[in-house]
Amino acid sequence: MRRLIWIIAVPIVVLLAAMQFRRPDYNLPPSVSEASLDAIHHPDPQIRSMLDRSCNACHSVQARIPWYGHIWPASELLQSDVRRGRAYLDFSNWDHLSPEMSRIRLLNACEAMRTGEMPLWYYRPMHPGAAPKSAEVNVFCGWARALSPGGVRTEEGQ
Amino acid sequence: MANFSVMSAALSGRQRTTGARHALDGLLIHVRVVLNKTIGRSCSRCLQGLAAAILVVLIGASIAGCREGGQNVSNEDEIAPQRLFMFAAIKQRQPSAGIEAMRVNLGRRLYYDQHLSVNGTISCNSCHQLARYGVDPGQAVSKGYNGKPGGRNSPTVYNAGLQFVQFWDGRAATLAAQASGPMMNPVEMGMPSADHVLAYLHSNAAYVREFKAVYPGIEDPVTMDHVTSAIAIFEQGLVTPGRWDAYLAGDTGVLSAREKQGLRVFLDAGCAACHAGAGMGGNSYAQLGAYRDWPDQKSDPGRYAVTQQERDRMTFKVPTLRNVAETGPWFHDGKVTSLNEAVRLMGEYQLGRKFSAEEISSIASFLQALTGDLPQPYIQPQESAGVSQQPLADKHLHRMNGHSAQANSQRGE
Repeated sequence: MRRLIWIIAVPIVVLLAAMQFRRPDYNLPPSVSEASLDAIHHPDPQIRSMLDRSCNACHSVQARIPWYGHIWPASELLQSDVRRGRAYLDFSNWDHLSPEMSRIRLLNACEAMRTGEMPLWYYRPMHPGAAPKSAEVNVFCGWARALSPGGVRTEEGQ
Repeated sequence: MANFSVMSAALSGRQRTTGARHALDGLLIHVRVVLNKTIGRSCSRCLQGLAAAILVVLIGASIAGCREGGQNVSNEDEIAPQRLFMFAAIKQRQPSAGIEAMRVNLGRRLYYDQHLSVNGTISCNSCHQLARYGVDPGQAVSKGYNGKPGGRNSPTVYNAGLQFVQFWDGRAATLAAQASGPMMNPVEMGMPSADHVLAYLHSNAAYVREFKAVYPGIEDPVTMDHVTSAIAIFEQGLVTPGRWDAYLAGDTGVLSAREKQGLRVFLDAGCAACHAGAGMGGNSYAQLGAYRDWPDQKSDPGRYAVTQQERDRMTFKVPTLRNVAETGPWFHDGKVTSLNEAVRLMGEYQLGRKFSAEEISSIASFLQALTGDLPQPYIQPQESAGVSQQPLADKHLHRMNGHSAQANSQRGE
């Protein structure tokens, strides 16, 4: 039995050790403050606080990578989530969006939070308190809907 | 082994979950025993916790992986209208009248005029053929006046007025700003300077008369601002509403079941995160290779070349998907010649999804439905009474070329 355990355990440990050489690439370029959602749309502090607590870990270049985010295989999942998260929605580069797309992204974010799709189910246990309260989601959605179809400032994104 | 397979197949989902939990418990016990014997009890508890965390992550990753690939494509119901809120229908422009119509006519004439290139061989229409959905069909990159290839694929000019910026890297904010670029680009139309363009137009009495009629009250209305403005006004009318717009307006019968399947996959996969709005794109920048680094990182840095900001490296304007089935080859470098391959690449590099062959096929079917109707009467070239199609005398041009070498961007589109 002991031999069997060693036969299983040793390759696993060796594999885990070897995979640590595979460094994650979170693709987080330096931020430009005037390009962010905050700088462009000036949401109120309650919304900013909620976004920082619930969203920015994956949806901004200010992603806070935890210690296990540098250890394979956790790093693989985190890298996947951060890169995919920024591809869908990146609060750091809001000037990359036209006013039309800005509004679409905000309404999509509203819907994702309202239906509980976001934050991801496996993110929540690791980050207690990250899930936005329904009152916060309502405030965010109301704010997003109140933006005119062309956004708050029509020159944005040009 | 056969019995094991039969038993496995017979397990219900719940039984499988229980079995997996038992296997996990058993593995944890084994790990604990091994660690106790090798590195001591206290440390083993830490490592056991770490091992458990790793296993949980692995299971999560496997679940996420299952979610990604091989989805079954269902065609059961109509798509709920609220899922379509991010799209907008477009309409054919009403024919303009009066001076606006005259400006459209002038813009159209300039668009088709080959003599706006240095050797009188190419026009806007050479690389953005209005009869071929506004592209240079089959060409990865277009060739300029002297046969040299440009730097990027010629994007469609149709529906460009819906886009928030122009060119692949967004370096022109408006259609008018874009219009002057190719004329003076040394590998496109090759005019050494705006003066050369204006010299040709001034040399043509019919053009001068037309500019004076279209921009009245100005002593010399033949200016680059008016040239680019007239072209832009004409291009604003290059819109292609089609079945997709009828569908968005509520006529759900215009899309086939297959196309609706594709739309459902398109939405579920997250394609609409970028390809949304009235233009189905053209209203944001995105990093090519947002999820996985694009294989070619060196040939073209995208918008980085304009802003020199690291965040813009490999970032391009998201192209419109309107008429996408007719505007290949695809991507900024035109290197992808199959629409299905383009869909596969987008799934893998933008969304982190390995689409099944069925998903790719259904999305491609949906993309076919985005082909609109060309505004045929609007795009027909019209001769202006008295506008000569003779090029500026070669001798005159050669003399002008001799003392002016424009250091334009050679990137082109």
